[in-house]
Amino acid sequence: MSLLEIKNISKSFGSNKVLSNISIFLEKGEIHSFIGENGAGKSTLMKIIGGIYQADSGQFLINGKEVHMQNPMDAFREGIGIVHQELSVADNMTVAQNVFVNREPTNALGFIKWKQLNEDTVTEFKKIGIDIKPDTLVKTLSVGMQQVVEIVKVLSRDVKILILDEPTSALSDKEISNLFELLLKLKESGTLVIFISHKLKEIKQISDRVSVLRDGNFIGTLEKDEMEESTIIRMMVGREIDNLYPPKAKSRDGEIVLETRRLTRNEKYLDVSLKIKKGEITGMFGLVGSGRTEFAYSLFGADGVDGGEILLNGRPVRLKSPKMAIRYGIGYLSEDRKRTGLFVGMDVKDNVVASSLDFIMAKLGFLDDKKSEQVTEEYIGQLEIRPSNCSSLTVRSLSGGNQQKVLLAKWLAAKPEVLIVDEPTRGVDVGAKCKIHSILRALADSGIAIIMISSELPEILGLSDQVAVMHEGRLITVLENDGLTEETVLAHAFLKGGDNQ
Amino acid sequence: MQKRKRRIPVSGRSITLIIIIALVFGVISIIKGELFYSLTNISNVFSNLSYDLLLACGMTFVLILGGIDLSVGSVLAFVGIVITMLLNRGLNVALAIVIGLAVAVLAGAINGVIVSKFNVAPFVATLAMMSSLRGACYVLTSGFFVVGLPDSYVAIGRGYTLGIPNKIIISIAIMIFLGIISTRSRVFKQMFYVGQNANAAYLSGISSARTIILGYAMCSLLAGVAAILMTSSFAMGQASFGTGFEMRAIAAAVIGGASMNGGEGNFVGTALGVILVALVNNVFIMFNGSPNWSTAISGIMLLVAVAFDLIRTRKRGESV
Amino acid sequence: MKKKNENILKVFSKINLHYLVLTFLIIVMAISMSMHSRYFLTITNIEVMVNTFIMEAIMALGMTMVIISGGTDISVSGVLPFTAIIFAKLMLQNVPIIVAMLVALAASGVIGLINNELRRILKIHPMVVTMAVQLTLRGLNLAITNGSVISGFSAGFQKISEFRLFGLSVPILVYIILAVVFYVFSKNHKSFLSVYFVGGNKEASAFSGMNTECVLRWVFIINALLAGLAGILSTTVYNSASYSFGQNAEMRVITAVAIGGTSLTHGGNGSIAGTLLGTLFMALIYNSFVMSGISTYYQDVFTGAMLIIAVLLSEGTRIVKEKSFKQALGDS
Repeated sequence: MSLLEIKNISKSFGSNKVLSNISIFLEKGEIHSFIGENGAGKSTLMKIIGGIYQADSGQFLINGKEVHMQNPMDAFREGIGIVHQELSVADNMTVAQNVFVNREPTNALGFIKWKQLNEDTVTEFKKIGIDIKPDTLVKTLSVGMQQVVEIVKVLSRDVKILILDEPTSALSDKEISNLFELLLKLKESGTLVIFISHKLKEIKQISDRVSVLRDGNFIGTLEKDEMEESTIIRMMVGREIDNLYPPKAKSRDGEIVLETRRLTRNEKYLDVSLKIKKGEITGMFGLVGSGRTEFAYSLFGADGVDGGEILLNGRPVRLKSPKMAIRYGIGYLSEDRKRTGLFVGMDVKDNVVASSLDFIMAKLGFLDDKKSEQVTEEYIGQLEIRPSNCSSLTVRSLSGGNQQKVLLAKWLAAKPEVLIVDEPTRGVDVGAKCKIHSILRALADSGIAIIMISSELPEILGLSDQVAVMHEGRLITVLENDGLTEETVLAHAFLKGGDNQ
Repeated sequence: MQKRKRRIPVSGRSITLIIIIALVFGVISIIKGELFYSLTNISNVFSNLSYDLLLACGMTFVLILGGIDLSVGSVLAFVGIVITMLLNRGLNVALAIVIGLAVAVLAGAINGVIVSKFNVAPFVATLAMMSSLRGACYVLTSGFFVVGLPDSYVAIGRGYTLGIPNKIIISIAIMIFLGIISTRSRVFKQMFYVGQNANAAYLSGISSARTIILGYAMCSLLAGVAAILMTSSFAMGQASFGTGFEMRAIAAAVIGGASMNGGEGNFVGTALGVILVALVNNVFIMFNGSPNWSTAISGIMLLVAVAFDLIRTRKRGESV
Repeated sequence: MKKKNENILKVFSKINLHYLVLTFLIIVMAISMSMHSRYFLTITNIEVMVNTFIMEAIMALGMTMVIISGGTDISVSGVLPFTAIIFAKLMLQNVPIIVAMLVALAASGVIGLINNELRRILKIHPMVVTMAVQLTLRGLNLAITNGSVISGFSAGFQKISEFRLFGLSVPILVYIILAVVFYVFSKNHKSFLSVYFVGGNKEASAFSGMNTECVLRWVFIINALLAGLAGILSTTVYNSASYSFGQNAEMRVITAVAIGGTSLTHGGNGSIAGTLLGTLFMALIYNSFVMSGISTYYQDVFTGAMLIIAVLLSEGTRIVKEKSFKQALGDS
């Protein structure tokens, strides 16, 4: 008998059918991953299991018995614990307070027994082999540690089923391997671990089985020996995807449009000297903490510079604000599209023209509505943004991949000479990813210089003409992408400016 | 969810408001008859409306920016006192007006700077400005009225042009002007962006700080204009002018379609909101007679307006 | 990153920096005031100082809780006179003092409940809700009393204002008890700690099984009760009840809490200890006004300025703190 049986679960939000008749069997002592494009329904399914949403129809059976989860507490009672993508720790409280929130040991009058609380916390952490001071304020911990606190919070409730929703997006590689060790330990002790991820490599590494969802439907489950990347992708997308990446630049002799000489920003990056040529894609790879985004901020005028210089077309410039950078022809597509890139409550048209108000749209200081409409339609077509009549729809109502395309359109409309894109395909489904890649290459072919910051090696290798590797704020090396392998790039990323391990 | 696009910024909300206003007007006319729809009473209502119109328009800017300005009533009083005191001491009318408006802009700019550069919540910043200015009013006047104003100045507020009170002409003219530039002006559009997501606006090359300062300055400037209208109309400056006006302004703007979350607002709606609030106040006084309830009514209308605003925003915000 | 440890030390010192500076300022003020006037350290003056601010001090305790929960309660300056008026009117109807007090308190509690329910059902920010309620109450207070002051209570009632224990009057005794209770609860009792959680991350707290709505409901009720208590105490002190009691009190109360380091913009931060310091600070300042005979209008200007400074200071330390965090965490 399965530990968890999902039977005919369906869910709609308004007229949007998010899950259709999902039926899957999940066993104890396995790590079971879920993968699917954005909007496939994975997160929703997990939230239903975790009691945050309620299904419209269908049932859940735990060990053969039907269960109803109206709220997260019901789910806990059934032994289900969920660790969300967005951290839900109260960072103004201590580790101990967070782990035992609402379950603190108290005396008869309601006063908290601090000693016992702290001791219990230490015990829980020891169960997974970590030493911690229970009275540490959570906000002083790294993101990875905060996530561990959240996991311990869930584990301390003796869960039989642990759900992790995209747990690795904000973790360093070391933290990820610690997490995986932990998950394996849990698996040994019989816990069912449900793991949602976008990252094929991780899923192959850690899962016993993987289930694929597409457009709210359950496509199939693969055993460990069946997990071929191409198979999984095919199931996710419904078609074969070969030639994932468009061909590289034909020649590499464009002129240098942007150059930094020993650029430094205190405590962020040091001595970065980089030459960016027209018509090329420069990939910037590095581990978390390498300073790439900070470097990009300086190039974009969003942050200052403490040393060195930036030269645009041979002339030194001081970029005091993004506004100035845009005037100079530099654009920056933000890492976090929802927080710093898009205006989710405004319509697509307003978003597309947001960076071009000054010089493309203005006529006597007034906005040309017709032209805005025209430009928007053009990009909707070029980037294949769906639905195609979305010009007047709010960005919020689009899927992640389409939102990213709108963000890209905004920067294309600003007609930059140099475009920096920061994690351009994060949280984007495979279909849209492909499209964005081909657009970036087309841009480069038309003469624009692109700097692509990415943490996905395949993307870096697939798209870049040259790869700049950064580590802890220093530029380690710039490699020409001529038969470059992932191992070589990673090796450089781990070395500190020349040391050998 | 599709939004209907029209050439003039008239939203569905505005049409609803027009209907409501017409209904209220009709029903009360029937009940109270001549007392209500007489030219004197209506003229009265609209006369007092001119200040609210200006303040509410200013508040619309600030609400679009995602902020709030509680100091408008106090700015009105303070600028009124500055101008009347200058006039009382014999300063040239035009010069006094210019100085007064400059003070208004300065107050608004200070609000804007504190909100944008020092990251202080608009509520707190403008609350502090409000009490500072109000206190300053009393300090300057020691509670006395400022009188002795030249006739040329008083004519502004009390005069008629083509049979219509100057106050109404000036305030409506300003409102129409704002309404027109609002659809096309780049700076105004930027306020929507900044109100929606100030960080994204900055990274999109929009000068958030400048836009915010401009918005608050505009709001206080309009309060300054209202001060001119009020002091010339009453022929005096008083430290208690404008008390409680900020509530009516916020209520009117929110009823008109501005959202407390920022990123939304239009002047036609605001104007209709002002009319509705003024009508309700007038009706209440007619039935009850005690002006003490006026502030309470404003409070309740504000609550209702904001409630509907939030229900509407929440409906749209279902996560994807 | 190795830099993390250094930054944690920096952070720790900044958390207490606020209290250190505040305590320092208080001491400096006290010393300079006593040097300026030999009347400062007299019992009479200290009594005056305490009495000028005692109602705000009581309300500041509850307000701290409200602000930690992520909201604000502007209605207190309307609840105070409202409760006083109800209390007074009941006594004039020859209702026994204790009963009148309980009924009036119950009324204030109901206002607090209304504040919360309006916030919850209409989903409006508490700031706006309580402001509207305040306006309504102010109008009601005026309307009910027709602008006149209520007085003429029994002789027994007058005795209350004369009561002294160890030389301390009733309001002061009440404050001391409340301050101690609030302090102890805020550090050790599950109920108050849950306010910190709700203020820090309401959704996450709900996911952890906390009944966040219940927490907020009690926060607003208790805060209103404290304002009501202040109203009743005011009646005993002034032997009358007037719509003008507690005018602009909400500004002074919020300022005292803000000066004490509780953040108005980020919930889940703050402490009763800080509020006690902030209250003391404000009391000293207002006492210096009284001593130098500055008009009440100046006082309002001053409060406004103090509030801005307090918020700037607390936002400033926050910005500095966050900067060192970003370094500790690296880019994300």
